[in-house]
Amino acid sequence: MAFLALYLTLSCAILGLFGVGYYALQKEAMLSLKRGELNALANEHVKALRALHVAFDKTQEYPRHEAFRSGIFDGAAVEIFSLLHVSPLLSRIIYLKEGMIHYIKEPEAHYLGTQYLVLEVEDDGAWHHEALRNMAWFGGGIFLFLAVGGYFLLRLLLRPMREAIALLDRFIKDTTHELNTPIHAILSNIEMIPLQTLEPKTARKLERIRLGAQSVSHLYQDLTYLTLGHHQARHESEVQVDVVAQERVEYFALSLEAKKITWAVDVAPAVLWIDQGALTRLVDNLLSNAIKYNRVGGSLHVRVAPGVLEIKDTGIGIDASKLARVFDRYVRCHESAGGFGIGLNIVGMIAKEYGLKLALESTKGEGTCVRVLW
Amino acid sequence: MRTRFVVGLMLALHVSLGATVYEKECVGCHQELDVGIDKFFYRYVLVFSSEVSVKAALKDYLMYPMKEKTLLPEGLVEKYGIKAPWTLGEAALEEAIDTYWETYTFMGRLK
Repeated sequence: MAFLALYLTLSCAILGLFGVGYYALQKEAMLSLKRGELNALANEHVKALRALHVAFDKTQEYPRHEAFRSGIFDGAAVEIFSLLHVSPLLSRIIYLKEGMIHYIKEPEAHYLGTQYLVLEVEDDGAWHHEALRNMAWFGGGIFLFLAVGGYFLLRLLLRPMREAIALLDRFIKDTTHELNTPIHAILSNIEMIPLQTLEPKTARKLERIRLGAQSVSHLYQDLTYLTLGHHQARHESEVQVDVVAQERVEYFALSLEAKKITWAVDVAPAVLWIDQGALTRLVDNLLSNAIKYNRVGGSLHVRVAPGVLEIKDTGIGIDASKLARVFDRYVRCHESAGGFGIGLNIVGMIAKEYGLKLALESTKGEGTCVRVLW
Repeated sequence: MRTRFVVGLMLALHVSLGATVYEKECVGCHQELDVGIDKFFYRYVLVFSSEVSVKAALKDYLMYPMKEKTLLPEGLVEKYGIKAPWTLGEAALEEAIDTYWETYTFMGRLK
């Protein structure tokens, strides 16, 4: 649609340019037609001026004509006598000004001192109306043709791209769906293994496998939200934000321990009308970022109170210049950790969907605090 | 008779003292010509058009009169010849030309 709008805007601009050219041509044609007519009248008037010049001691009556008004000006463009309604431009020959057509003639001799004789007639505007009518009909017709033609041409041009996008979309959805089963299999099987019976070295390896599988599971959840989220049925209900926050911190406990991050959860009962899956995605993404960008041995503080969820870390912080764009898709504030820049975009989408307010404070090198307010 | 002479002398003195340079130096001489002084003005305007150009052309001709510069018809030049150069100074000439312009200009006189 944006492409079509751009195409139509450009078409309008080109048509407008042609319209201006056509209008100027019509005006020139009208003036050219008038020029011959006015030149004949001017010649007659010059004869009358000559007669007055010769007999000036007998009469000083300036010659007048019903068909036009006139004025005479000397070589220094000083008015000798004028009946004109509009002041003339003596450097031109014929032009339209303030609804009047002026024709300027320089007689062969300066009768009464006349260097410039100006004839003035009113423009009836017929050419103007005809030009506008033609422009409206032809311009409108061409625009309609361009719009319809452009629409079909655009569809034709975009078809391969649409097909490629649809194919890619289907592939991502199918792949995402297929990821679910093996991830769940890995995670549930690890859960079933009693770690205390294993050798410490094997247990550590298994922990690392579980951590990796959790990361893939997290990515899977994000992909599911992005690709299928808008088509999935929502089940909004009153959700205990404090309970969800507590659960999700426990879920990330392994990741926190792996990075030696100390954490504190300070929750008070808080209720929010939301789809539980969406809230989980929101909390997970905020926690995931707080862990990912935290320093080793740092701290994490999660606070829930009525109307607020706050997640504060002691990480590397975000540059002030990037703060305004952190919720845009594929925007990454740091290259130090992995990711695709979709986490905070998902947070932003969920917040927008449920009317939640996001407040982000960050100090470079000290940490970041995200508040979700409702 | 004596009284008449005195009155005539006083009148001549008054006219002489009150008259402008133009009246004293130009009109008098031109009255002796077949063509009125106004016709010369119309001829100058016909050729030079504007006030500045007309005055400049008149000044140039009157200070340095030459056959090539005159606007007089051939017959009049042959009959009266070329006038003598102006000798009363530039300021007086400019004053006379200004008066000449004011007397015969078309500006403000057309109806």
